[in-house]
Amino acid sequence: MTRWSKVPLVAVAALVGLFLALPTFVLVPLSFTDERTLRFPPDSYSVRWYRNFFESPQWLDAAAHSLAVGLSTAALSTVLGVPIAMSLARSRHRLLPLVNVLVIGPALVPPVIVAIGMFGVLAELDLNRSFPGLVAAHTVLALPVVVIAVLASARTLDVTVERAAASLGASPVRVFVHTVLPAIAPGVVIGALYGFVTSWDELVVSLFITGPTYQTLPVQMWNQVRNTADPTAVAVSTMLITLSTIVLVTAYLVTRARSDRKRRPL
Amino acid sequence: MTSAPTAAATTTARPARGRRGLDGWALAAVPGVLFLLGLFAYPIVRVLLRSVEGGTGNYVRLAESTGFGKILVQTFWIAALVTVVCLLLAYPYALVMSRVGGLWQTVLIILVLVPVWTAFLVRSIGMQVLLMDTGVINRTLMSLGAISEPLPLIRNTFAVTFGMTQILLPFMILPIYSVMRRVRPELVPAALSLGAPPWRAFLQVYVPQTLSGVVSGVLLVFVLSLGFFVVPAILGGTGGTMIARSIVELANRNDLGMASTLAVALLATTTIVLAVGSRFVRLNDVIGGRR
Repeated sequence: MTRWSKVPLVAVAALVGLFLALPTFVLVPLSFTDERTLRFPPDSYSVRWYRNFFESPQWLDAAAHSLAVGLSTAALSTVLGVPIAMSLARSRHRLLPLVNVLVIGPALVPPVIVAIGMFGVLAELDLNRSFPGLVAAHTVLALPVVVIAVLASARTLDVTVERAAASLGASPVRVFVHTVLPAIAPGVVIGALYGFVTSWDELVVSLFITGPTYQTLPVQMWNQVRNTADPTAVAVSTMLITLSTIVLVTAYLVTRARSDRKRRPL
Repeated sequence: MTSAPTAAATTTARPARGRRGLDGWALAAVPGVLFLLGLFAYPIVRVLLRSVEGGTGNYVRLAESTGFGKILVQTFWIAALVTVVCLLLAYPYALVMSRVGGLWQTVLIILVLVPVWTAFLVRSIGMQVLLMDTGVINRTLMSLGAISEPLPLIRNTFAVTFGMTQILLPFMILPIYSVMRRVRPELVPAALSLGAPPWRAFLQVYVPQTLSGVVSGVLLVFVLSLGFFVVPAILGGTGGTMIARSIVELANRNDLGMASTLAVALLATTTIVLAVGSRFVRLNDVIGGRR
């Protein structure tokens, strides 16, 4: 960059950085407004909209549902995703390219198409507006990110360790539990985290398959903001941004731990 | 690892596995594959079937209706515009991000990653309070005396383009940045020392090395734009309608046949774009750049 004109470049980068940060940071002061309607800057500040969240059964139920569905989705998508990732990394079966397309498909097909299809199938099974239906739908959407996270770990494994274990008489399950699983553990943790976040943030499919009796947090927020900005939703958004920042730092630490381990001599 | 003894081990290990008659690792994928066939592939087949239930009437309606045609064109146009604007903003940002060091690089990376980890809906709400009539931009400009009436920033095509660009920008920055980190930086000074003007060294030596990241980013942003729902629904008002939002509205009105038909049109467009794109980049890498 020595002889490229630096100043305009840095100016553009600074503006883009501002553009990226602004919509999240403006929520913070507005979430502390004391007024019923959102206006910038607020005339007076209070925590009444935060209190409103913690005192409203409707909001708290939605958050509890989201947490339950998110944890279950993380568990199910990890249980299904880890073996798929190991297959993609190890097997040479001729159908695997098709499996790959099937697995990454949900990340590329527009969610509204998954939503409308899922709605029809869950209606047949009478699972719409239910906890298992939501977990199943969110797991479909989480699998691509889980598999890709685990695959990144699995590709770095040294097969000879497993062969050595197998040649010493360990059963395939034992080989997997004692040599493969510890090695891919950081990828599995990140995958599970991705699975949880995918479910926690999911709106479009949930809009189709939840009803007034069982709502997730994004659906509840959506119902509040679709017509006009709502102070409680802004307070909840601020809390969610705080939460996602914590998740980001966790993911960063896990990734760093993984690269540290790689550098450690055997 | 590619040494001869390892290769020998490979050939001796194979028959041992083959004796069981099944490839154990391939079998491991079966439960997950069955799950996806039942709850991802089958639902999409159902949408296809639903769209032709009772003949091709829905498709005739789609072809003859100027309303749907307009929405399809508008969807494509907004998606293209968002992709171009994202590219124009992301390339210089990624360039600076890949060249600065230390604290500034961390700051620039965090500015990209915090939005990636924040739900589209939450960021759309942020955009709502930024753009609305009593929002941050309008009230700031009014208190400065720059305007007396609020600017029409929300409930139109501008708001949709602005919001989608903001939300999809990280998906353009990250793949370009990951390629820029691997670029061989010594080639540019080499070109300069051979007498190339800086702009030529940049365009002919630097930019070509980053093209795979650009293609990944363009593909991902364009495909995500085509099916975008949240931003058009929250910021678009009556203007800036896009196809995904029409699908949801049709489904809400219980017109599942027509909703499925529009869904098939969207799916076909997405598939064509991805099929063309997959000739240039691996789709797994494209998704890998999402988080």
